[in-house]
Amino acid sequence: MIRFDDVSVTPAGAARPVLHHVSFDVAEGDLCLVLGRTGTGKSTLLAAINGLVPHFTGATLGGVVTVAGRSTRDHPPRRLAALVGYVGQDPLRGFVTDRVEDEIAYGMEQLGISPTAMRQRVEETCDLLGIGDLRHRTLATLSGGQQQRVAIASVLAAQPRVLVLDEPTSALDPTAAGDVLAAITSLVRDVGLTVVLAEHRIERVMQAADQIVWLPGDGTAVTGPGPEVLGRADVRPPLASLARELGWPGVPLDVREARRAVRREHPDLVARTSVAVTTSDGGASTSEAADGGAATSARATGISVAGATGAAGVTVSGLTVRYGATTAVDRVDLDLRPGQVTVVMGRNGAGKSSLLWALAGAAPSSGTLDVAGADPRTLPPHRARRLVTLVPQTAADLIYLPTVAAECGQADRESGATPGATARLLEHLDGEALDPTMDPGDLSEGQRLALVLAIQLVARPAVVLLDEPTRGLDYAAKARLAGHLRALGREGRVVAVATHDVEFAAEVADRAVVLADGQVIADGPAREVLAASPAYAPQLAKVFWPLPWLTLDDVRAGLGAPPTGAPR
Amino acid sequence: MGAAAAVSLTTHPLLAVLVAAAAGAVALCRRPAGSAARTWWLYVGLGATIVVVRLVFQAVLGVNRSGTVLVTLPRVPLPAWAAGISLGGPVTTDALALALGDALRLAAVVVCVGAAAVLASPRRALRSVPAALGEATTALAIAMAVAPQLLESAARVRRARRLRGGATRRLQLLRTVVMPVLGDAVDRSVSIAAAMDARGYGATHDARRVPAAAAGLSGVALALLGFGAFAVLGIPGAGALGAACLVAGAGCAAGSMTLARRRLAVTRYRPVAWTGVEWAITACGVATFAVAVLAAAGDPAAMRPVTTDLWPMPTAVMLAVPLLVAGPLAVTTPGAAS
Repeated sequence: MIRFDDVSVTPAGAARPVLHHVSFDVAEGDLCLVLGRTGTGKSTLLAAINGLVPHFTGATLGGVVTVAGRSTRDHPPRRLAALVGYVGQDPLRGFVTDRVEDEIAYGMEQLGISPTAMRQRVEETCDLLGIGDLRHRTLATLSGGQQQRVAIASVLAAQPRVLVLDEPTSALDPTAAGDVLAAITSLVRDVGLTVVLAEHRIERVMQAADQIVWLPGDGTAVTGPGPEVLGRADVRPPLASLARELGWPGVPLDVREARRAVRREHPDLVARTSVAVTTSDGGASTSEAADGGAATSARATGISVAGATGAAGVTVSGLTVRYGATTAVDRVDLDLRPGQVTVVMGRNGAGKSSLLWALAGAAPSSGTLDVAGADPRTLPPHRARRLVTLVPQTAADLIYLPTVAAECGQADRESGATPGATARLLEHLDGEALDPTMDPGDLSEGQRLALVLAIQLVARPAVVLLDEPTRGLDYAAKARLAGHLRALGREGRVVAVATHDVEFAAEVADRAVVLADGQVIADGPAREVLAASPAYAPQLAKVFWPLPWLTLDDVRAGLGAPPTGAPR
Repeated sequence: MGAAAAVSLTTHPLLAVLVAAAAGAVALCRRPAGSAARTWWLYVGLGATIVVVRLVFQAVLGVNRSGTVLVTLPRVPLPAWAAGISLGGPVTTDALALALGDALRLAAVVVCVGAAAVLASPRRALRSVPAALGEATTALAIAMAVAPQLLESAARVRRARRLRGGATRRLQLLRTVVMPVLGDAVDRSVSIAAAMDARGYGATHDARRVPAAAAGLSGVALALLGFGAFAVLGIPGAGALGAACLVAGAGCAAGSMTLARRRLAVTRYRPVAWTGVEWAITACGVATFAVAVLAAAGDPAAMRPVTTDLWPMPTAVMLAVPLLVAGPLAVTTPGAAS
C-alpha cells in the first residue's frame, strides 16, 4: 500500500539528510508504528507519505514514495487527500472551521462530494468514533481526547485508505488516550484501513502493531515485527526494558504476555504471588501494602530529616480557583513537604494546571497559601520567583530572545545570579553544551525544557512546580528529567509535577495526589495510590500484581538485584 | 442593517431610542444560546458612551449658544489661536437637544450593528457567500480562526511572563509578549495551511475552466458599483443615475461569479436553507429602510427636527420604523438562530 523506495529527505538549509536511503513497504490493512527518539525524523517520515514533504515544507526528496501506486512526486498533498488522511500533532492547530460538524464535512466539501452523500458520511463517521453527541459543539470547547477523535473523524469522512497519525495521544490523559487508540485499532480491524502512527509512549499501542519502523537517528530505518525490533531499539517502553533486564528472548507486547512470560521464566515469583493471593481475600493487599508502605514511609522520613534543615514547605487550605462560573480548584487542602516529589494526576480538565498556577501565586485564587512562610500572591513577581517557580505546559512562552546565550544572560540579570550561572546550570541539565548562538525556536522539546528549567531554577526557588513537562520527550529525555527532579528533591526543595504520564510518575514520585473536578480524591504514597488505580497503574505494576513493584528498580530489588543486562 | 441605515437618516431622538430598543429586543430574544450576551452589552455600553461624550462636549465646547439657557458654565479664556472655540459659557436646551439627537443617532447605529453581530455568526454568514468567492472567504475564515487564538496566546504569554519576574520597563514588557505571540500566530497559520492542503483544499481547482470573460466582467462590475455608490452618496441630483449604475454593477458581478464558479468543483455541506423566514427577515430590513426613506422624503422637517422641543412628536410613518425593526421577533421562534 505504501512503499518507500530508497528515500532520502534533506530539509531546506540542512547539511545532513534526515532520512537516508530508507526503503520499506507497509502492506494494506497493517498498523505500522514509527519509533525513534526526538528529532530522528518521525514527523518527516509521516509527512512524506501524503506529500507534505516536500511539497509543503520545501525539503529535497530523493527516491520515490508511492501510495497505492501514486508517487508523491507528481501528486501534491491536496490530490492525495482522498487517499491519505493526515492528522498532525496538535489537533486544535489543524482545525479549519469552528464546529464539529463543519470540520468533519470540510474535507468532503473540498473534494466536491455531493451534499446528500456528505450528509450520510458525516453521520456514519460520527457513529464510528462515538462523537455523535458532540456534533453541534464548538471545537475549542472540547476536551483533548474529544478533539483528537474529531480530528480523526474529519479525515476519515473523506474515506481515505491510509491514515497517518503523528503522536495522537501525547496531550491526553491515560483514559482518553486509551479511547483514541481503541478507536484507531478498531479502524484497522473493522474497516481495513492502513494506519501509520508515530508515538512516544509506545507501551499503549505496541500490542496492536503489525510492523514497527525504528529510526535510530542516523537517517536509516530498521523495520520488522514488534518483539524483534523493540528488543533492539533505543526507545524502550517499560516492558522492553523489563525484557532486557530479565534477559527474555522477545519483548512481550502487552501486560498479558508479560505476565505469562513472568510465569514461564520466574516460577519462584509466581509462587510468591500465588501464596500472597491465596492467604485471604484482602490478605495479599494488606500484607504487601504494609510492606510497601513501610518502605515508603522509611524513605519519606529519611528525606524529611534531610529536608528539615532546608526551607519550609507549602501549606494551603481552602484553595479555590474560579474562572467565571466554573470552579477549577475546589477548596483544596494540601501540605507539600520539602524533599518530597509529588505528582499531581487526574484527567484532562481536572484542575491540575490551575492548582499549580495557584500554588505559584500567578493565578487569582482564594484561600490561604503559605509558601515557605510567605504568600507569593502578595509579592512582586521578581521576589515571588525566588520562592516558587513554575515551568508552564507551553514552556516556550517564557522564551523570547533570539539566542540561547541571550536568554541565559537575561535570566542571570533577572534573578541577580552571577553571570554565567544559567549557562552552567543548562549545561548540567542538558548533559551537553548547547550551541549558545542557536535560536531557542530550533531546539528540540527536551533541550527547550532544559533551557526553561535552567532559567527558572537559577533563582534558586524553594518550590519547583512543573506542568506536563514530559510532552514530546522521548524515554531518554524523560529519564534525565526524572533524575533532575529527584536530585532537586534531595536538595530539600518542594517539587510538584502535574503529569498524565503514569510511567514517569512511577519513576519520579514519592507521593501522588489525584484530582477530579478540582477536588483531591486520593493523596498518599505514590506506590499505593498508583498501584491501586486501574487507570494510573504503570504497566510493571500490572505485570507483577499483586507485588507492589512499580519501576524497574523495584523489580531489580525484588529479584535480588541481578547485575544490569545479565541474562539469567 | 436596514435599521442602521434608516437610523442614519434621522436625528429624531425618540425614533432613535425606539429603533435601538427594538433591535435590542430582537438581539436578546433570538441570540444563540448563552454565547454573545456579553458582546451585546459591550455594544450598548459603547452607544451610551457616545451619547455622554457628545453631550459633555456640546456643553463644554459647544459652538451653538442660542436658545433657552439652562445653566451657565464659567467661561475659560482661550489664547487667540483657538478663536472660534469657546470653553464653558451658557448651555442651552436647543444645543443639547440637537446634540442629543445627533448622538442618539450614532449610538443607535452602533447598537443596531451590535445586534446584527450578535445574531449572525460571521462563519455562518461566510457560508452564504457564493462559492466563487471561496478563496477570499477561506482567507477570512482562517483569520477568524487565528484571531481569537491570538488573544488567548497573548493572555497565556502575559501570564507566563509573571513567572519569570524580571522585565521592568514597559517597552521591554511589550517585546517579551509580542515576540512569542507573533511567533505563535505564524506557526498556527502555517499549521492550518498544512492541514488544509492535506485535506484537499483546492484539489478541484482548475484554472482552464475559467473563461477570460469572467475577469473582464468582474472588472466592469467593480467600476459600475464604485461609481454608483459615489453617485448616490456624493453627487446631489445624480441619485437615479447612481442607482441604475448600482443595479447594472450588481448584475455584472452576479454574472462573473456564475462564470467563475465553474472553476471550483467544491460542494457545500448542509447549505444554509433560505426559507420563508429568512426572506421575511430580509424583507423587514429592506422595508425598514424604505419606510425611513419615504418618511424623510415626505416630511424632511419631521425627520430632522430643529425645534426647542426635546421630544418632538413623531409622525405615524416614523412609528412604523421601529415596528419593522422588531418584525423578526414575530416571524421567528425563540432559539432559532436568525
